[in-house]
Amino acid sequence: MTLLEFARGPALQWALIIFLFGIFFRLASIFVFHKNKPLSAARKPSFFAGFKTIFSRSIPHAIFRKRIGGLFITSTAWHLGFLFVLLFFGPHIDFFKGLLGVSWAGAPNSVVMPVAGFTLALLIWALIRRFRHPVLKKISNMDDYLSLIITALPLLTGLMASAHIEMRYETMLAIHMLSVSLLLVWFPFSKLMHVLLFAPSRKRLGEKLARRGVKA
Amino acid sequence: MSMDKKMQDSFAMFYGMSQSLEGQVEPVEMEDILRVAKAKEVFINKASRDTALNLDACVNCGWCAEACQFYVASGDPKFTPVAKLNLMKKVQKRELGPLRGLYKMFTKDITVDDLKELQPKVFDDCTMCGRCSMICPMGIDISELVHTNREALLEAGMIPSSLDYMCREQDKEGTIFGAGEKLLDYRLDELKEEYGVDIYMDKPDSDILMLTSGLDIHLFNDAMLGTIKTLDHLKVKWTLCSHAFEGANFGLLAGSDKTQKHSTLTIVNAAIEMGVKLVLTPECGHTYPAMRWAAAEIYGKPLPFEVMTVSEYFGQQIMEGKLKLNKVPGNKVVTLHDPCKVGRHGGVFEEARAVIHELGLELHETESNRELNYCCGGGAGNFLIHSAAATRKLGFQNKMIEVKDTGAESLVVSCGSCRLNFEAGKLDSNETIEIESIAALVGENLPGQKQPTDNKKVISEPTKQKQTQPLDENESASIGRFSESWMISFKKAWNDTAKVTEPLAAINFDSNIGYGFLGDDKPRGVLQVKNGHVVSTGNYQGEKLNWDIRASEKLWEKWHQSPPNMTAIGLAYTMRKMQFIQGDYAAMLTEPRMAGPFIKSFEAMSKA
Repeated sequence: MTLLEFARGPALQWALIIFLFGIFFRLASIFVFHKNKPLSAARKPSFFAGFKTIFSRSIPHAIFRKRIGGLFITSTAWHLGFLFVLLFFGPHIDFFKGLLGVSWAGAPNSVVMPVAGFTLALLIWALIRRFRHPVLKKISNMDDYLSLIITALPLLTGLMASAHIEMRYETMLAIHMLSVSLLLVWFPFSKLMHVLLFAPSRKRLGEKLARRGVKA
Repeated sequence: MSMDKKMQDSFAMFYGMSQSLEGQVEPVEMEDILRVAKAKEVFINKASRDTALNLDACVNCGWCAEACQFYVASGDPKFTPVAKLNLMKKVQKRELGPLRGLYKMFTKDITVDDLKELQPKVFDDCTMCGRCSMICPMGIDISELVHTNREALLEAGMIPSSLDYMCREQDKEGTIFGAGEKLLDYRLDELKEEYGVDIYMDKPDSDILMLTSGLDIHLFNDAMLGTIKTLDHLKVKWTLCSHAFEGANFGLLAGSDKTQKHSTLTIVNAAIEMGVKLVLTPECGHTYPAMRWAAAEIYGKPLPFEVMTVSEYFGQQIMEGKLKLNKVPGNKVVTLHDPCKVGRHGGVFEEARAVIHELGLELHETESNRELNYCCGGGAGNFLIHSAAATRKLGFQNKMIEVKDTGAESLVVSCGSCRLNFEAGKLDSNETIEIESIAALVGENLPGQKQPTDNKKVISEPTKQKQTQPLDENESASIGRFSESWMISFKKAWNDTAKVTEPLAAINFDSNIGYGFLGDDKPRGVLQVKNGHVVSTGNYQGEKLNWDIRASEKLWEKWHQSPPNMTAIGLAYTMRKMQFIQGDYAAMLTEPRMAGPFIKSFEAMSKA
């Protein structure tokens, strides 16, 4: 078995299994707890407000924009950039077609590559900022640093594989696949789970505040 | 209304009293191992889906700092809200998380030193204002988790001594600052006599149970008066309850389930027993969430009555066209402070604005308003924590930047704690903006009553002098109190009392203090204090005094037998049984640390 066969085969399969079971395990460990149901009389109905908050909290309140406006733009750009590269790079679409049986139109490499490069640059900037900013230095832990590095690796190796630099394409592709596997394994046990947890967390705050008559 | 001279003096005394609580109770004795176990027990027992979600969803982005008043004002990362949750996160990962086995293998358990470090983070450096939750991209309710941290420290016997004092007083007496039924009666009699208002106590068949607070009873009588006048004006059936009038709930602030439950159920049970339809909370910010949101959880089922705060109730009456107010003359420009506990935690926003509009005041909003409002800087009991003074100042200064930008002549507020904090902050920073109570404003501008020509005269010196008649000179002289020899003995006792001399020396306290009897035209004995120690003493001979303290012989004798605590002194002052003919209130406000040893000086006096 070549390195690429291993990366595409058992490594990725096991990574996916760990990814799925890990997510289930992590979510179960949260939702196994009882939910506090308020007994006080609500000022306003809150069910839909909770769902609304899932979306509305994606954009900061205007009053905060002067303090975090730049961060909001860069963090949004990085999330969108990552998603764009993941979903609209031709080889990725082929991969998803093999996995899920469906495909969609991709973007040209001349667009995807600069976006990937820009996204990687943002991640590196985020890592440097985490080392240097006083607040981030104070609150950061190993999970924060490793999550950034592990998320950056597929972008870096993907760019290297596409650019045909240094190593053979197959070897570079295998390393890229292995970095994806690492990301999948790391995901459920790290703060990367926020990709799933943001929704119930925002909904919960939105409901709590809405029943009190406060816009979240 | 702004503070008149009487209220200014009362404010100084109340401020001193509030700042003298630390050290009034003995620290909780407990083995370190037990402290850790009890704190962990709270973290574990309070775990729910909400806490698990809150702790797990955090991405450590640090945005919460950018919403925190203290971080915004200082740029100091120690104020980062989410950093206050690290200990709780650690316990959650080690004891409850999905990978707890691994975490236990590779991480150390929390220690008592961790708890010591936690105390200033969740008390001094956080007012649980909740603004951080409004910026968090994950929607994490940080203030709620900070409250759990306070609970953990309380169980570990490690909350600030001042809040511990307040909880113990509320557990034991059901009061705060000694404002019990006796003082309430005194205050109500005073208001009744002075302003001719109808006051109802334990009145059957009432629809509204009005709560008040020790703060209003001692100090902000205008807010209490405004509430009473307006309820009378509305011709609603209202009453106070002699055994359930205190709305303040230090259990909620300090993290004491026991105190919170006891205080809450006292009111809930009284309201049910009286069959009222509405419990009206005073201008005491945290009374509102305690009763409006938390009470039903404590009671175990939905409350059979409504809960509203005064600004909400009056605003609603205005919005429904049931309450009309006179316009305040002069196109006065005001700004509004939305108290965190009433606004962001309570949803009362438009009602207060309706009151301002009805009064014809021109409202200039602060840039951050409603649910995004900045805290006054001293909420959640921080006002009472001495070590939080610098942090409070940061919060106040931060708030004032936006307030000043409005160009308002006065800052209108519907929370006594915020009002107190603003008044204290003003003195400390030479700000001059007027601070006004919504309830007082409403009461002053009810139709059909004589418009005060000068708002500052609404609360005036009570005409009734509730003071004990002085004994004649011979009688007191026979006892010898404040005689030259007695004063020498007092000097020795003072200088021998380290709890008096040491803290006063630490603040370089110099003062001339006169002591005497109510009704006398001059004091009897004088102490000259330098750097906390009495350097000379004797009979009063016309020297300039910083303090001239008078009480009846009976009260002095009582205090000689049993030295008064802070509460007793506060009570005597408010009821005018002890008076300061001369008071260096400015010094008290500048250096409130003098209040603690001042109270201890009465202990020294008892040894004279």
